[in-house]
Amino acid sequence: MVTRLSGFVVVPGYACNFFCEHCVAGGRRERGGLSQKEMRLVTDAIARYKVRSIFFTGGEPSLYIRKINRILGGVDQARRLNVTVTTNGWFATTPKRTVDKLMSFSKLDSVQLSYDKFHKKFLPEGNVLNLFEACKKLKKRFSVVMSVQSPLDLQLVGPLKKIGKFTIGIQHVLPLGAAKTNGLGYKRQSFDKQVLFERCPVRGKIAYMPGYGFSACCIAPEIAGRGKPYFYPTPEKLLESRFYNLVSRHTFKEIGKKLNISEADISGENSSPCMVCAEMFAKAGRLK
Amino acid sequence: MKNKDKVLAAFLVSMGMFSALQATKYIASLSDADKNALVPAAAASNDGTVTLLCSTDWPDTNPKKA
Repeated sequence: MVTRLSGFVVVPGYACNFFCEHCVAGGRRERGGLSQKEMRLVTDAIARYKVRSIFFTGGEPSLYIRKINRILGGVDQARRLNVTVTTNGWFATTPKRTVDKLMSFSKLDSVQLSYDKFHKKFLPEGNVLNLFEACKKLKKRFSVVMSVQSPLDLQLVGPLKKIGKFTIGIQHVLPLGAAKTNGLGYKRQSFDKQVLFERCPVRGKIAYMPGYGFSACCIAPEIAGRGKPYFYPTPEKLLESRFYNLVSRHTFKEIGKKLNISEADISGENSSPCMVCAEMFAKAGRLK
Repeated sequence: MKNKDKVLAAFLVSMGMFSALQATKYIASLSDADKNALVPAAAASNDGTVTLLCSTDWPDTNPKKA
């Protein structure tokens, strides 16, 4: 029986026209994006696993609209797919330009804008308004995702709420990619052991990253270090892997036990599920 | 402790930033201007329009719902 996947994250390419100092993809600047062969792999995976929700992230996905449209055009059930794009909103300089850009996606249901103190350096607040209004006009869902390095970064919520009513998702900056280089990860005052009883929040979803392959984790390039140990050439290989089975079925406490990592070995500088998981797999080394 | 401080402390705990004790201490250390600037975020959290996401670039991943 073919597994049904609840969500599929696709990185069409890593290029971005912003240079945010906290970006998790900040260390990867390959410009080419998905190859023809990779686009076919992604399209096949969407069809075979009856994916209902697809999320295009990056890099900046709006720099890869042709590739995105080719992927969506190759899927029979494209009409039933729920398509979300996470963007930095660079194109939303005027209402017309914003509408035109959103309409250039062959299928689009939701727009998620990355906006926080880091993106604010590149993105005028007017672009946020244009994007919100364009989504309303085109009947697309609109939301904002805000990365916070310190609690006071949440002060940006106030000005955003004046623009309109939409959801704002808060993420803590993880010490990965450019944020690691620049020492910008969110620092907790102490390790919250409760995180060990949580499970991977993205279990049941898979990701495809150009040049790497399929994974159950979008920060896998970071936890892998050199090489690509947590990436697989096909979804089948991923779903059969010990890595996928560990992260999709167990709490972090159970994963630690199976990897022979004791709780005392976890530094817990960031008590987020992703960083605890990353630390365990980094300590365990490559899984057989 | 003022009611506003309690609301802000609870908000920061709900955003996964502090334990309750740490949040109380942190709020007490803020200026009135900083507290006032956080009030809209806390209010939006009450109406459900500000939520905590998983700390990755995967959209729509609220760890509390996972």
